[in-house]
Amino acid sequence: MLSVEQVTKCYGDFTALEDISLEFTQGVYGLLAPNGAGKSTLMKMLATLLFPTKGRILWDGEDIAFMGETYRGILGYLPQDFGYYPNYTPRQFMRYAAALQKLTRAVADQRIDRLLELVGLSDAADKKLKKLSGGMLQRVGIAVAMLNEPKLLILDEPTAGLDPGERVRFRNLIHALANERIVILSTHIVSDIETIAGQIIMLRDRRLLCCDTPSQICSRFRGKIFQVPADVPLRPHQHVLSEGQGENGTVLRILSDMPPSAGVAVAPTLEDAFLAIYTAGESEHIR
Amino acid sequence: MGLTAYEMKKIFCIPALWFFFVLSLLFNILLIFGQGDERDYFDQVRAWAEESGFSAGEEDNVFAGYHTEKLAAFYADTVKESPVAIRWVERKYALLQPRVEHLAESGAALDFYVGDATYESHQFLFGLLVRAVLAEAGICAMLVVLYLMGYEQMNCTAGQVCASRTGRKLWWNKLAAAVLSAVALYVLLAVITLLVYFGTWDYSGVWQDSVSSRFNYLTDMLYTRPFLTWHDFTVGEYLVAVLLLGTALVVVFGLMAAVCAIVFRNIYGAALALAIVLFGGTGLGSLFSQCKAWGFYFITTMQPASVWLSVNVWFTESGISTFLPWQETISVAFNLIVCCILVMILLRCFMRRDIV
Repeated sequence: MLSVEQVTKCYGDFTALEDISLEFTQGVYGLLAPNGAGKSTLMKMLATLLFPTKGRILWDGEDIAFMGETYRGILGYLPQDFGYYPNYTPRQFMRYAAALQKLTRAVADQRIDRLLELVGLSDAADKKLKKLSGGMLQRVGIAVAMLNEPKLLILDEPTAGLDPGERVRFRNLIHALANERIVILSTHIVSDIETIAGQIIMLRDRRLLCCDTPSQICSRFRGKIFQVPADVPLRPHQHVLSEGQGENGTVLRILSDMPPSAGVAVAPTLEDAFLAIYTAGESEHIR
Repeated sequence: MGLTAYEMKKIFCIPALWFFFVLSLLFNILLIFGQGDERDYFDQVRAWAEESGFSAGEEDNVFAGYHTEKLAAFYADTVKESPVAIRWVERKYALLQPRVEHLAESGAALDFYVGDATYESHQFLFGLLVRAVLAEAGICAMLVVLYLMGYEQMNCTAGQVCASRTGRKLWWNKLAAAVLSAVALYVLLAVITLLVYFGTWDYSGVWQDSVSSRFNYLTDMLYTRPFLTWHDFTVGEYLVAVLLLGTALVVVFGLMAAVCAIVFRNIYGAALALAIVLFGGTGLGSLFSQCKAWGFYFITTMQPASVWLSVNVWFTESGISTFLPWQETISVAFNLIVCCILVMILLRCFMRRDIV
């Protein structure tokens, strides 16, 4: 089990994260917050790239800062900007990554073949990385992160820059990998985690806002999300969350404590909750 | 393949490195073949010596009755503004006197070397060719270290690498790979250059002669004196000693680059800092000598760039370039130890440094 205990991270005078406490057990966790909210800082601390200014992070009760390679040996990490050596092939790059994970050549080759097949890159295994598309590179990234069969898989904005098809493929892949391990996936794209995350972690103003199941988060907005025609004038305290196309023209999804005139109550989605919290400032619903 | 081998592969796959290497070799070969007249004279002198069966008499022993007091007085006068420097100079030349007596007894001065062609050929080999090889190898070493230490940053792979089981310890492998590669490149460069040189300059029959032959001499501040070494060296031994110390100097340059690369997260910043340390250090030496702050000047002669500059007088009393016996060896050893300690401390700090 991974525990984050009252962790604060400061860069000089700037506080990036403050007093974060979380517990992770097996399953997929979606870290959902707008850009700049501290997602990557938290992910990097979990990956031991950054060290907490205050507090500590424990793996099975032991501080990860002092576990060294014992902790990193059970960690798989895909950073936000997956870096690679352009002139290496996926196979060569994975062999190098396997050497970094201290795997023997025989074990490495076996796993590389299996993982390349799993991520659908067997045919591109010997092409240069610089010739692969963004989606293919991300899949190489996930294969690299899986090389040591990690118990903890940290994926920092893995779908950034991917087209919708690649995102769906990537989501399915993560879902397939989520058995028997903790997967922490950060994103600011709600649809990335809506269907695969068992728990959603939200950050706001450098602090933890919530850690709950998607349905629990959505349930807090039940009866407060309405769909209204776009030409209906809104009252104060009614916030537009999104705009879409209905059968009779443009419709708005709004957040309102009271049913608006001509409004139809709709089931809140995670995206509604996200927008309500981060654009309409309705965080008191979630606390 | 081990991690150090993987890191070495990264180095040897840089086309620019090989381009620089070939360019350096071409430059050295150009230097060698640009000395046609000197080589002809060298061959003539050797041929004459073989034909005439050259022999020297006791009157040719330039070390017999030679006193270092004159040298001490000359340099003490040069550095007269600094009592500390005067003491250092006098001590150095007092220590040299027993060496002079030993050289007189051993008859080192009676060796022919290459007669009248000795000074030019010796200065060309050690003052120009070996100096060029050392400069090229030193630059290679610094570039290789900077490149490898900044490789993950350039490719945005630092996060993945540091989160792996090996983690930040990879930088030890990088350092080992860079230093090994730098030494390998130096050896390759030196071997090829010297093979070309000795292929065109026939040194057969010269190797066993003493470098302290009376035909060899040094001129420093317009003062000419015999080639006074701190140890008995034949030409062959002297070349080997210079090349070995050169290896250590190349490693020092590499370690200096490593220190800068670890301190400055940006590799270009590290390169700039390194350039400032190297050029600024030698500039500081010149400034101290101009200001006649000889004590400080002598301290600056211990920096690696100054040691490299004085390669043509290594293992000799070296005139104003040194204030200690064996100073080039002591300087290289000192710099090596300091750089090793700094690298160890900095890498230990790096283990707990944030990777932003």
